Amino acid sequence: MKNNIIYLVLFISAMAFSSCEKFLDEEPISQIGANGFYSNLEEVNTGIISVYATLNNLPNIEYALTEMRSDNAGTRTGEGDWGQFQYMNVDPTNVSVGTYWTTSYNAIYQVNNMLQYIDNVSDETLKNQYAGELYFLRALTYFNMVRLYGDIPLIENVVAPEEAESYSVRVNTSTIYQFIQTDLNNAVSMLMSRGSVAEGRATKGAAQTLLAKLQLKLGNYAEARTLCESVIASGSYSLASTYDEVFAINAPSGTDEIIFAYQYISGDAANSQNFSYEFSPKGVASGINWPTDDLINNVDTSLADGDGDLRTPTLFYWNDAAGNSGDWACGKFLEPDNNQIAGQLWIVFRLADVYLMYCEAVLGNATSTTDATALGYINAIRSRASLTPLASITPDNLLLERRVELAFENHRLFDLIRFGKADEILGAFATGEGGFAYDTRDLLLPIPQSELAIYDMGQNPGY
Amino acid sequence: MEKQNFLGRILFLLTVTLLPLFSVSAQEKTEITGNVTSVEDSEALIGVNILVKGTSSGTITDLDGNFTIKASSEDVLVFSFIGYNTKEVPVSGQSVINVQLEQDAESLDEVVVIGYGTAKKSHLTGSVSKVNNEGLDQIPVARMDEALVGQVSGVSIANTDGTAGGDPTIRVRGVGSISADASPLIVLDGVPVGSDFLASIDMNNVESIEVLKDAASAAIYGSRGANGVIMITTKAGKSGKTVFSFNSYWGYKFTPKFDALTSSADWISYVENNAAADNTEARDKAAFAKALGTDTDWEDVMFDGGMIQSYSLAARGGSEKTKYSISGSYLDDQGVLLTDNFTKINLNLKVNSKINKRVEFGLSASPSYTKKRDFPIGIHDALRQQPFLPFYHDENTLQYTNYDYLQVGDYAWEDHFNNFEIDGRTASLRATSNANAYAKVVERDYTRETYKLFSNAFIKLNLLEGLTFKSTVSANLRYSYDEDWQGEKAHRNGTAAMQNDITTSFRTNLLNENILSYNKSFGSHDISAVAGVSFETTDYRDTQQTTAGYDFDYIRTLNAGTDKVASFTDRYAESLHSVLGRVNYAFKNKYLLSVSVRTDGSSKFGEDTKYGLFPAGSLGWRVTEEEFMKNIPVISNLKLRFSYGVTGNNNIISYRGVDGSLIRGYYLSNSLLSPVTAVFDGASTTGFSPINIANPNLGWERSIEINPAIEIGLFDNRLNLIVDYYQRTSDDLLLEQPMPSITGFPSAVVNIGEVKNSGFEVELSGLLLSTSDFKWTASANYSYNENELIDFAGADGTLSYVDSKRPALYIAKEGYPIASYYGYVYEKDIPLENLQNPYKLAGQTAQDCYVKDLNGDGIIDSDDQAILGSPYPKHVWSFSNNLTFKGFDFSFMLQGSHGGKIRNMDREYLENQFNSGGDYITNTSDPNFFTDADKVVKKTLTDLTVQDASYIALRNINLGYSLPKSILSKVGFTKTRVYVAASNLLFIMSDDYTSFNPEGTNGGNGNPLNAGYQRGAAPIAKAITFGVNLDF
Repeated sequence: MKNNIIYLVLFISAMAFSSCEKFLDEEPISQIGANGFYSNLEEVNTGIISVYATLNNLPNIEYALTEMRSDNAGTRTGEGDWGQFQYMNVDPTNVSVGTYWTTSYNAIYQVNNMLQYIDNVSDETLKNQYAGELYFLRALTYFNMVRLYGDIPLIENVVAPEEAESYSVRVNTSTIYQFIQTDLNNAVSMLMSRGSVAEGRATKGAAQTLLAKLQLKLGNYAEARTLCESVIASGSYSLASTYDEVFAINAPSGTDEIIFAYQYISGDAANSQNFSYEFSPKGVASGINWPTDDLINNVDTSLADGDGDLRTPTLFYWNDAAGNSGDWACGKFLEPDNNQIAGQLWIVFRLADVYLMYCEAVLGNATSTTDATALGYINAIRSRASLTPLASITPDNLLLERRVELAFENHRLFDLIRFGKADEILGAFATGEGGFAYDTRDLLLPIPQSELAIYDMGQNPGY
Repeated sequence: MEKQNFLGRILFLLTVTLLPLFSVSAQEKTEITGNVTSVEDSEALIGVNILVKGTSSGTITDLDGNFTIKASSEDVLVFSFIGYNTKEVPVSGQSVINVQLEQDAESLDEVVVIGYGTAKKSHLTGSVSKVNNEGLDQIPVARMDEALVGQVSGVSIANTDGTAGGDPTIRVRGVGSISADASPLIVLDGVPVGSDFLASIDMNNVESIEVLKDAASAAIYGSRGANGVIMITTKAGKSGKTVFSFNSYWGYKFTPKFDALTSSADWISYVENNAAADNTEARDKAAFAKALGTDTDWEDVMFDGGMIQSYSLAARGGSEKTKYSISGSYLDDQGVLLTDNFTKINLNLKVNSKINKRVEFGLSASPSYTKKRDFPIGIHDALRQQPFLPFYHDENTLQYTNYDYLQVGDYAWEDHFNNFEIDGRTASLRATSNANAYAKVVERDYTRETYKLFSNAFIKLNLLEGLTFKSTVSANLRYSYDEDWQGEKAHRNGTAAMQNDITTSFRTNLLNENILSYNKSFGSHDISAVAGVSFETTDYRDTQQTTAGYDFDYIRTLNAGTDKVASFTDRYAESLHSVLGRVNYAFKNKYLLSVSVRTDGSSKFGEDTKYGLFPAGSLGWRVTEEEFMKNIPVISNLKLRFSYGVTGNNNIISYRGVDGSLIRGYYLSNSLLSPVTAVFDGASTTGFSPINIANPNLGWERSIEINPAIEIGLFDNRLNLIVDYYQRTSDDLLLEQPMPSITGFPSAVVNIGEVKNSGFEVELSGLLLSTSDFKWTASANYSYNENELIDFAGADGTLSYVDSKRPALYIAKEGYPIASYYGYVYEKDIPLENLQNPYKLAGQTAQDCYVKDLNGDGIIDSDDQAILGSPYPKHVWSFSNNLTFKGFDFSFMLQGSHGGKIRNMDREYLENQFNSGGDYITNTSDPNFFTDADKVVKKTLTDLTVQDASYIALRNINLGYSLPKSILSKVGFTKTRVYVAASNLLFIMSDDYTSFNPEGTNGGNGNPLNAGYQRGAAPIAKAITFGVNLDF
């Protein structure tokens, strides 16, 4: 008996102090550990796909930060967080302002992270393509960020938490623009043309378009013009025959007019977007990105006469649900059955935009132009909408054409700023239909409070 | 004030009843005979010691409880028996003295369950409270934890979810964690189980509940002890004849009448009497409502009351070698809300058998099933209908709509009463396009079903005298199936909003424990020691499917809908390996010492931080065992004790990742990649996305607690007082620390921060009166706790809110409680004439109000905000009484909580504050243009939403009658008792409080920084029941 007890005690001690390391080794089941991953072409590709998967969430809020802060759109109810954009009274604690910032830096982090592994891609052509995509996506993210928030931290590599404080510094916008330009030059030289890669991935044309936009922003009109010419001349893109076709969802990757877009799949929870539904009065917020009267009044909606703007039924639809006396809603991304999990793609760049950018580059700082090529491009767009051709292009009619053609595509606020018209036009809109007090400071969003609470890198003026 | 009166009364009564007992004298001796029985069951007591006081002459009772003794008329006989209160009876010339002894209510030698063993109560050196199930199963509440309210000092059980079967929030000695779950560990018959087991335990089958409150006691549970431990012991069989017990009650649950809403009639006369004559909009609306003539009390509709019933049957018995307990029970609680329902079915089996002197084994298995149907929307949402709105359209109401497609029996929507022409004028009663609130509730079916199996087998070897080895294997399984169905008529969007959300979850918990125990007394030494090792694994598998695209209500299967809105599975696991030991030592029953240590290894933490060490030590001194105390007979027990212990909290924290998806904290010491998809060429392609910042140093939260205490027993322990002081410092808190987004992530889980809880607890109990017919016991508990955020690791002063649409602020500020309300101080309302349309809706008030310029700088800005209080009550007390008179028994408990505040957001909704009709006039050309727009803020940002959550409740009251045994024995019953019981019959809330349940802090999403947030909480439930207890 005594011996038995000794054995038992020994047995328990042995159990207590050995073999436990293994017992406590629980490997993640629904995730994988990152160590040693991204070691080959396929694995690196999954990391790049993840950047797209991150960025394709942004169209679900980007309209609020851009279109709803312009004279194009507001909300149906004026309530809460969404109402702040409409009234240009955005609080630093606004959820979407924080989400946009965080998601963007997450994408930038992923790009920086993946650039470390790019050499693990053995295929030289694909390696260039992947690296080009990463540079393009980082440039696109920074370009939107810098235009929305002004000076922002410039992160070129993965930053560990303990280094974060030294990188939490707001860098001058011109430095950011320079950085974007370098990324885009890399991207243009590395990326393949449309047709060589899957639709939805970045192409040379997309990088050229973005670079052209940057050059317009910087006032480098000659460079912008050359880039637009390259895109147009590439032969990869052509205007869709009708405006409605551009926003039809029957072709999953869209029409040949599209230069870069985020794709979604209708009815597929993991791959859908919700903005189509939210723009409708059935949305959770009862209708956001809601067209202003000011926008509607600038579109010739008199289709009954036979000579109105053919874009009207695509841009708007008449909302007359039970109990509602009727009003115009955004019709551009509407799903046929108003699906909550929508598949309508989000167009970042399309050829019509490049046509008008070309006109802008030709116009430069002049007050008007009668350049035949430019007129050809703008009139191609106008004739598709059944509008009379222009004989000359002025900043005002170019701005108006961009407003209508690209309405709800998140260009309006940036256009107003770039054309130097923001104060004039938004100021007038604010005192009129807008019903709020406009201030130039409103053109920049506040830096999210949640960021400043960690390291106070300084708020934008007026907030 | 009330308390002082009570104490005064007790002292008076004690003096009157006890003084005669101490008088002594001497005279001639005669023979006295008598019989000694037990008060509880009138059975004869065998072997009772009878002593003539002050002499050595004595005797004991025989097999029938009879005795004979010689004593003089002036003598006093002392009757003493183990486990019973000693009784002294003056002879006073009697020749026959029949005595009833009662079991020691506050027996010092009561055995108390502590972790991995038991201890004599007199030898305890930590703070352990024991509650015996004496009538707890008669309290008409659906869950056992609800019946524990007020039973133990230092344990707060708040009715945060007032729905039938809803989880209360349990905290032992305050909140010591900021992000991790701060619920106590639940140990069922020695096996740690998830706190969700509290929902499915059958109170009828519970023998006792012990709460390990101080860290020294809880440290034996190491990394899970920091929030206290609740140990539940179920009933076991006793050797002897099989006893069948049938317990049942049946009754009605209801809410008090709150009258928080304005009726249509009141609103109409309000408009008629107050609105300006030219306010045609308001007057037309009132005229419309008057013509319509409907008036619904939405409180009555939503708080519809319900039946509660409980049935339980048990058989317990056994031989010397084998004992068993089998029971089954059924409970159905229809709740006080519309659709609210909870059903619980339990089976329990427990068998123990001794094969021989050396080997004993046992098995227990308790399957259970619970089904809970929820009230599917917030109460605030259900009540904020306009009172004119009927449920359904009838011939009358259809006359007042413009919509031809509506028919009799259709749900009426506010939308239907829009732009209607009445008396030549167009009026609209509509304020929302939402569906009818009644439809929103009954056309949704949110049901949660849970199946659990608690099973446990052990073998016990008696190795040597006093040395045993016990090996236990336990398997605890849980399967839950939740279905949230939204029917066609539940939503204004009709079929487009139809949806079914099905969530299933499997949890498999396996435990093996091997414990050596040694218990031995030799001479003046008592030693009790345990050493052991345990292995535990838990595996989780969750599946969620959400489907929309239904066209009909008939079939809810996922294949009946076309759109897969969400679909995921998640699987994760954890393991825990522990080595533990404890020695309890008593010298001469006088000097007490307990030392314990546990080391826990957890799979959840980093390579170098996997193991944690949790030591504890405590000392006790039973002063009354000293010679010098023997001369003070009034003081029958005086014990001083002091404990120190280290415990941990290893509850993981889950948080939302950058894309909003849930990240569970099981593997956070690794960098994790999660699958994501993007679409190229119209097809989904898979990628892997980094989701977290790895923290290889992740570990547990650590709590260090000291606990000095004094225990006093007076008059043979008829009056007992225990006072505990504690101070618990918790640091290395598991926290989702905000990270600069430039790191790629908005947060990471780290161990930072420090919180302190300190306070004291008083437990006073007494046997106030005891005669052969009448017995009165009373007890009072009082707890005081102070919570303080000591260190918030650079995030001091963090402001947060629950709802970005109505951002009522909280501040986490060092030196203050973890959660403190923050905001402006209300000054006055905006004058009615400056509002756009104060008559727009019944009961509507303005959204904004004037606030105080706290810093006096003449402008109202964020610098005028202040700390407005905290959600944690300062003083919590209870007062229980138990009286028996012959066959009657009567008990009640009053319980109260004071000093806590609640953030009540309900007014915002019930008063339609956000509705633009209550906004001030912004049109500068209006003569009533409001010029003070920069002096007002939204009411939700002010102290109007911070209200006093204090209350006093008559938690339970029970009046019973037991039939005399003489009658029962003839029909074969050993116990027949009938009773009426009630819960919350009286519930007094603060006048300041304007909603339905001052404990209903349901809305903070579980974030302790936003504790005390109330939005649409289920109301206080009252119940009156009739019950029976039968033993045969």
